[in-house]
Amino acid sequence: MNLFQVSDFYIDRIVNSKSKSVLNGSLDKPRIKALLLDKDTTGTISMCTTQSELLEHEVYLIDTLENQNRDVMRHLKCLVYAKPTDETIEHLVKELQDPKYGEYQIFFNNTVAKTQLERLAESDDLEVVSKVEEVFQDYQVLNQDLFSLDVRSSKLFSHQMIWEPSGLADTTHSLISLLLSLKVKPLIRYEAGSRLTSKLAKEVMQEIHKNERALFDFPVMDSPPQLLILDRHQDPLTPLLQPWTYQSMINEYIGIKRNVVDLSKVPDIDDSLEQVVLSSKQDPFFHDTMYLNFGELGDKVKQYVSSYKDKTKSNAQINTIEDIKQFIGKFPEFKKLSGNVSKHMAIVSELDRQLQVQHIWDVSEVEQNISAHMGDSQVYQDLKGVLSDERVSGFHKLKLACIYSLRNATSPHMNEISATLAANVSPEELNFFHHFNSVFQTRTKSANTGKEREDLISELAKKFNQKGQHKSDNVFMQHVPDLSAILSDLSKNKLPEDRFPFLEKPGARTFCQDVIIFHVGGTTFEEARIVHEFNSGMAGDGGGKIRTILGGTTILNTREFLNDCREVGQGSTELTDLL
Amino acid sequence: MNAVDGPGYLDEPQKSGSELNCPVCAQTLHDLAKLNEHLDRIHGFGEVSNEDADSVNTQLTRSRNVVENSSKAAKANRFELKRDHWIKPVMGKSRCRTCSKSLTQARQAINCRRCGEVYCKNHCNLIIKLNSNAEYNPLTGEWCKCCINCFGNRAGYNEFGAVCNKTSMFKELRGSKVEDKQLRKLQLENRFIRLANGIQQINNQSSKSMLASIRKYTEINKLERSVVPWTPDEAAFACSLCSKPFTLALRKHHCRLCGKVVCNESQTNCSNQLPLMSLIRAASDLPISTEFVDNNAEDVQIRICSACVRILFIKRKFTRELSLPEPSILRIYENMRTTADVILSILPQVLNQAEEFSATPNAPDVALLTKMRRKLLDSFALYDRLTKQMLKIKPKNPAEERIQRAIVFRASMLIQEHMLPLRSLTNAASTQNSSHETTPESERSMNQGYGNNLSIKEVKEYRDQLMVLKEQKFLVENMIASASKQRKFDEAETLSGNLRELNEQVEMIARALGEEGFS
Ligand SMILES: [Zn+2]
Ligand SMILES: [Zn+2]
Ligand SMILES: [Zn+2]
Ligand SMILES: [Zn+2]
Ligand SMILES: [Zn+2]
Repeated sequence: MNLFQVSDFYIDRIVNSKSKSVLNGSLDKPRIKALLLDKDTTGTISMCTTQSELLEHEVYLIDTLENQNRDVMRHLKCLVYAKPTDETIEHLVKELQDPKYGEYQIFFNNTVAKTQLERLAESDDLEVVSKVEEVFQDYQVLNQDLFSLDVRSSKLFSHQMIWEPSGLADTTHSLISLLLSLKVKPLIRYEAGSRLTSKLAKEVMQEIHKNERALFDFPVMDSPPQLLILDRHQDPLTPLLQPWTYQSMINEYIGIKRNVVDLSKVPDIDDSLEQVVLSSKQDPFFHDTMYLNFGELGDKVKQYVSSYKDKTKSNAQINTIEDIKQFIGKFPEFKKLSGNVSKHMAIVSELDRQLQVQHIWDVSEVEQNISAHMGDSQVYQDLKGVLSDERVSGFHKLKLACIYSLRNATSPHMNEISATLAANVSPEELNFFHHFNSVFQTRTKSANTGKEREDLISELAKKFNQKGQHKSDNVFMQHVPDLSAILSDLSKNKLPEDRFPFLEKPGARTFCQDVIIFHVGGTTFEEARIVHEFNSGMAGDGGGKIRTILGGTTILNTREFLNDCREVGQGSTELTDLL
Repeated sequence: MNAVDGPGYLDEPQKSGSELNCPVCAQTLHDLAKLNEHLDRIHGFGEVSNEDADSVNTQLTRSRNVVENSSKAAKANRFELKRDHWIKPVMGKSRCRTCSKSLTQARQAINCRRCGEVYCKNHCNLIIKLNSNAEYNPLTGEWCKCCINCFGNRAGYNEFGAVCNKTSMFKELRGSKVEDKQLRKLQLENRFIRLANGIQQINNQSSKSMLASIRKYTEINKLERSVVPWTPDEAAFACSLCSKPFTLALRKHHCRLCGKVVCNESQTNCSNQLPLMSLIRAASDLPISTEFVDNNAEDVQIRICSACVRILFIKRKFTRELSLPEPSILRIYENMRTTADVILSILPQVLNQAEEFSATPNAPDVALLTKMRRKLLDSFALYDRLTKQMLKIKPKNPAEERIQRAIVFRASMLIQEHMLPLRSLTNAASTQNSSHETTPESERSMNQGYGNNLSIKEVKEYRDQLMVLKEQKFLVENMIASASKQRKFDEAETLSGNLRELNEQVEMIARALGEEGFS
């Protein structure tokens, strides 16, 4: 259950695909290959491999299927890696009717429909296609245990928070490709009281049954893997809080898409650092620091820089030719290191700047206190202070009020908060605050009856976890996402079935060994960290009994999540206004 | 020892409260009696052999008495796990297979129920479904303790990467479509043969007699209509390919091979007057005689629609292009690739031998080492030559240019990776050997000499040195810039000192190199 391993396997399979070149007569010659990608697979490939890795496999030409102006290179073999959308099929049809290369091997990243295959077969007059294969990676790999479908909620759900049919179909297919890539035929669980998750669970189940014999014929396991589908709206607090670990802070303050961090808006940035690639697979420093909090990170970066300086210093005293030779031997590595040091220095100092400019230290402390200490009067005073602090942005004030109302819905202070907010933010934002309250309060009211008891359990679990992780002393990381309690319940095989029912209850008693957790509405890097810590703990003391993979329709930061909330129910209010 | 298997797969059962979880498989049981029955029946806790009977936990014995009566019925289908494959731990000698901890007390040792190996308690806490023969059976087995190996070796546990080959399905689909197309192609080919041969005959006759030459065009027209019946003009209102309606400006034309009415728009390219001779040459595999007597034969043209051209000629064009020689970029690449293979195959041998050699300098196979090293260096020289050749090629299109750039990039990576570490090696060996390692070729160029008093070797070395220093200078300058940007002035201060030193060195070497400093 390592997603990097999976994508390495697939990439290797594609680039090392043997050609049965009968047209040419000679054996697998020429060896130079062209690789054609579409807009979806470009992302998948770029996140899991590098250009020099592809060069090593003699892929010397990479282009997009969409590009109409490619030159004819009759002697090249062409590898196509594409998502089987109708759009790509049409591009492929055009390509086959007027082929630019001598031979084609087509790989789809998900199941291709028979009608699509027919369409291709029909246009392959020249019989240039020598291979068609489905591999299954219709998702993006972010960490070895984290994936994303990279689709914003507005594209998946209607305003009333129900699935758009196309969004449901796409999400189902992507999840199916994930299951196939892990060779897993899971028991499916969803969140009781969530239409979104039960609908998706049913859809995935149906798709598995449909392809039972053709694709999902994996060995029966004594403890079958589980797919647990969660609803983002059941834990709205986690994506609302300012994060404090490296990977999630980058997503919050700078933004990271397909492993690319855009630093172009950073003042006085060096040209070479405007766009940097950050991958835990290729960057060992990032691999070691991505889950560290800002304090630990600062120390690590200092160490990194000083170790680099030591190296330059020792190399500065190059007197003999022998020194030079030694240095040249290390040169490529050295150059890489210097690039990496300046990259992380740039990112960390930008994070530091953002924290100060946006007054995050003050905001976050209050946020964390509100989440951890319900109904504390000192916390309430602090909140009022920040709400009327002119230096704090309207966005953060609004968010603070939302967090307060999530934790203290019935508090007598709510009116006062509303009034303070009114004096400090725009009328639109105040409107949104009321909207937010109505969305999440009706949700808690209509939630299943077992809710109260479970809350108690997860409170206990939270306290336990805090002690266990020795992090209770850190004011900025007091909040523990619900996912933590879910994982701890899973590890005891005690995840309550009334809250997380099975779609098809297993006949025999089973245990949880491999779990895929999928957040409808998006997951966060903070939760990815929790999963990572859980997995490391399991691999160590747990003897490897549970392996977990986390995924989401997208990876959220606080702004994106608040925007998603903004859209919830918008349509329905308009509708009732009309009636 | 099995009676105290102790806290197993999951946390210890809660002693308080009415419900209990089995410590091995976590099944919920209503009371202690039920739990004990469960432990006996499912996990074989009851099957105590004589030798370790005394180690049985007293509590368990007591509770077994309680459930004695109720479990009589259960005994009928009681699960008895095979255990003669268990390795008997020898206290003080046996070690846990995972952590190698020495096992000194019987209480610490556990046999994996599947493989029978001995483990410490911490490393045999996973569970697996086994049948009574201790074989993995995911469906009807019972939960038993197992080690990490047996856990990980279960079928399907560590598998990933499903693929589904659709090639045969694709080829089948393509085949069913191709059959019709093949027939159509044969039909058109036949018509083309008749038409081409017929026109030639008429042409040849017309060159012989005056009368025939007058009748030539009527004859050809008659022939054309006999090869394929033409769609009557009145029946066609629009071009059969682009569907544009015919007007006075958009005239009707007949394709001589399919007989359909098509237009003559240059934009859509629906039909064209094509020279017969080039068509015949493009389909040289067809049985068409090419004994034109008349010199005017080159002028004969026939009208063919684009659909027919495609069916008749596109495959022929494609195969012809494939049989053309490869572009020089690909040809040279093949050579580079072969040379690289040679280098990569000798390199580890040379490094190995050099290591042996330095350990025992008087080893007898010095000659072999020298020979291998020479071969390696020659290969590197060849590789270098090929790379330069590659650089000289003028790419025919942007794609070739990109491929060329990528190949050269890859080549420089390969040299960096393998040749540079080798340099120190050859140097070490050559000082010991005091023999010159230069190839004859580079020796020749060495005699060309330089303006200053340096040998080529020295110039090269100085240049390398200069390159390194300049790179360092650049790095340090960047660091100073970022340090002052972040107002870390003390840091910038030390760096500046560093930079001054570097500058001095750079100048020194540059002076020594003179003219040759800038290549
Ligand atoms: Zn049990
Ligand atoms: Zn052990
Ligand atoms: Zn075992
Ligand atoms: Zn036309
Ligand atoms: Zn025609």
